[in-house]
Amino acid sequence: MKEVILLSGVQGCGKTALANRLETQHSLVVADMGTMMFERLASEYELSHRDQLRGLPASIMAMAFRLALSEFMDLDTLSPKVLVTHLFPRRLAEMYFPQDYFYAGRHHVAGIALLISDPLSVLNRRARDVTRARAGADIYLLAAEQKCYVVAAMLMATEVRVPCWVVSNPDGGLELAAHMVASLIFNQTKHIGS
Amino acid sequence: MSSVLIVGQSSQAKTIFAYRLASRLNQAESFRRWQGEQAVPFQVVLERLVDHTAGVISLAPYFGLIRESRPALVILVQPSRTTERQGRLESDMVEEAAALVLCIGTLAPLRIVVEDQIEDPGLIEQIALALETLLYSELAPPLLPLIQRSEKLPV
Repeated sequence: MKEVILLSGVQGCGKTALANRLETQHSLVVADMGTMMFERLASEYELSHRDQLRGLPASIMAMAFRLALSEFMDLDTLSPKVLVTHLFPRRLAEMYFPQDYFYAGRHHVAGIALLISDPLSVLNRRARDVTRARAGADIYLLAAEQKCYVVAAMLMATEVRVPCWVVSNPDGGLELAAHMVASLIFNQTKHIGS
Repeated sequence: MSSVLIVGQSSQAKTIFAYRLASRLNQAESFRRWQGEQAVPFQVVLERLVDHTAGVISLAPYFGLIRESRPALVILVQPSRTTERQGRLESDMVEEAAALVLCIGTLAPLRIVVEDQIEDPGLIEQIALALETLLYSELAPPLLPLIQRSEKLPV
């Protein structure tokens, strides 16, 4: 099965927690693009933490993204594959257009699930996670960032004619969100490979 | 025929605004028959761009058809900041994003109107004038060859 579902959203919206549930409770094959890129680049660029990826040149990041995506797509499995990724490589405050990341392998994407969350909940999650504390605490910037994610996901989905699902992840609602995303993914990918 | 697309989440505001605009454009009849029975300069069309079902928001299944209709202007009616809309903030945000995506795809200008403004005659007038400008600019390219041909006619 070559098609993958992209799971995206801003930092702290609950992607990783949702991805873990999809893997453990719904038997989906899940990979995190950031981790895959870190594993690929860590030794060569002497990186000790994933956040250090942000310091690398965009061209290196784009190349690593394409290689990692290709590797994940070639993974032979009967279960649908979910790739957790950011649509924007850096903080939107830097106004970095997601060209390379965004478009790499887009024709192999079977659907895009976008997780959104109340900005206050996102900020609370970021505050609890020390590695993300530096991601900022501006609620207006965060709201704008989420909107950019929705626009980017919809643009990509309409371009390659795949569905785009925007799923809300309120505090305490992770199980329901995971169930909904899993149903959508199974429904969308049931014809693939048959 | 060009269309003016009025989008937004479900509320009475879109309908009221559409009536006001259609009346100003003397197209009240066309608004009532917006599915296209009469040849009028503008159709005023109401749509919702996203579906909100069981907690999942997605683009409306007819989004592609709306895009292909290439509206002349997209007007997004947003809720007033003072309106109580619990649980609707997310779908309002996604509707706005969908309107942006539609405008990027069709190059149609986007005008955002807040619910509070829909009764403002100044706003209606402003949009009507903008539409007339759009209509003129849309007609300009086909008119050009006619003018050139007339210049070649023997006097």
